[in-house]
Amino acid sequence: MRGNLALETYKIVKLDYVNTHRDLVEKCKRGDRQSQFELYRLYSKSMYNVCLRMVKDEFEAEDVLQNAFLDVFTKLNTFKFESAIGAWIKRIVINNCINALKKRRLQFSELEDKHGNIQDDSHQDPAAEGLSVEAVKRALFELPDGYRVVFSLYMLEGYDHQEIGEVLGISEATSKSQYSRAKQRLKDILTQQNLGLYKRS
Amino acid sequence: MQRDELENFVLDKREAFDDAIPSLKVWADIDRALNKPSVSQPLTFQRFFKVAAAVAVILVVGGFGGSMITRWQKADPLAIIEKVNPEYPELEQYYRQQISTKVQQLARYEPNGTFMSDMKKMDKVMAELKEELRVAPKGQEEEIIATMIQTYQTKVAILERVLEQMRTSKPQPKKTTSNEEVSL
Repeated sequence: MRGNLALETYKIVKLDYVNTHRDLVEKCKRGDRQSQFELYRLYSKSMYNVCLRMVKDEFEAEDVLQNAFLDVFTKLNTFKFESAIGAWIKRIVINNCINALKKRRLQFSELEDKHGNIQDDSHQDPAAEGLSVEAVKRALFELPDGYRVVFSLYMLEGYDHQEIGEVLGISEATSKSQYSRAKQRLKDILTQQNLGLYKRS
Repeated sequence: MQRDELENFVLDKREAFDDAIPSLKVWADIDRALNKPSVSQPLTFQRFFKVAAAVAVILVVGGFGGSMITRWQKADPLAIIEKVNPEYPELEQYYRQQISTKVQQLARYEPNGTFMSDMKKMDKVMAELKEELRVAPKGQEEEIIATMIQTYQTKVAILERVLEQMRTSKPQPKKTTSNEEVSL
């Protein structure tokens, strides 16, 4: 009984999840401009931040966002409510970001050669009191493109390593090792930032 | 895997990481791009038929001259297409599918509308173009096939424009569908 109830609840929740903004999406599919603007308004801010973290340049991030939403509106007829619209949009945005990065000749396949076992605790962690969102954002922008992309996808966009492997065309193992390296580099940068902070004060 | 302090911090403050706002220009550019017709020049039925007629005259004249030399050696347009442009059948299938979908959408707005007869006229032009392949002088086949592809693209663009106009002027499509068949 309890199992059935849980299953039913799961079905209802899942149904609700995939049906978020269903009416709005249907109107967008019919080309209703007001609804298209509403969908853009709902997701543009978070998607712009995704772009910014991935391509690291405000103007390029806006270009990528624009192209991604044009893709969203032209491909919307293929969206069959099998996933949440937000996740579907995010995937299109991320693919556009990756294409932009590839134009800069960032080859994700090259990451394959570099992975190995990483010891997480080999470096000192930054002091917890020194952490701030601004500091982490600044440190994130100092990471090389590959590290920044993998770290952002895993920690901020909620992708798992298998999904990251799929979108970047690398193996799950490479994604894991790149993430560990990225996190460690981020900690080093934050520690350096903290030292600078202490020296100034 | 157990999360460390940095990971916990990022997850706790996740919302705060999305503080940048895109400029209003982004939507303005999207809106402008969505308004753009899919071809750069304005399209009208008159313009389409003018172009098609001009192409037909060139082809007929060229074809006639060429046929005097080749003495109607070429017979099957499909064989010529396959030889000159192997990708054409796939493209043709794609455009036919696009046209079919749009004609069905349009029929919901205007089951007995004038666009049906216009579509038939365009089908006739397309059939004539295909026929011209039989008599085209050597070397001109590629150009004719390119024109045929362009004709499909024009047809899709015209349908899109008519559909857009219908949607703006008649937001509520009729429920009935047309029984009239249009060859593609």
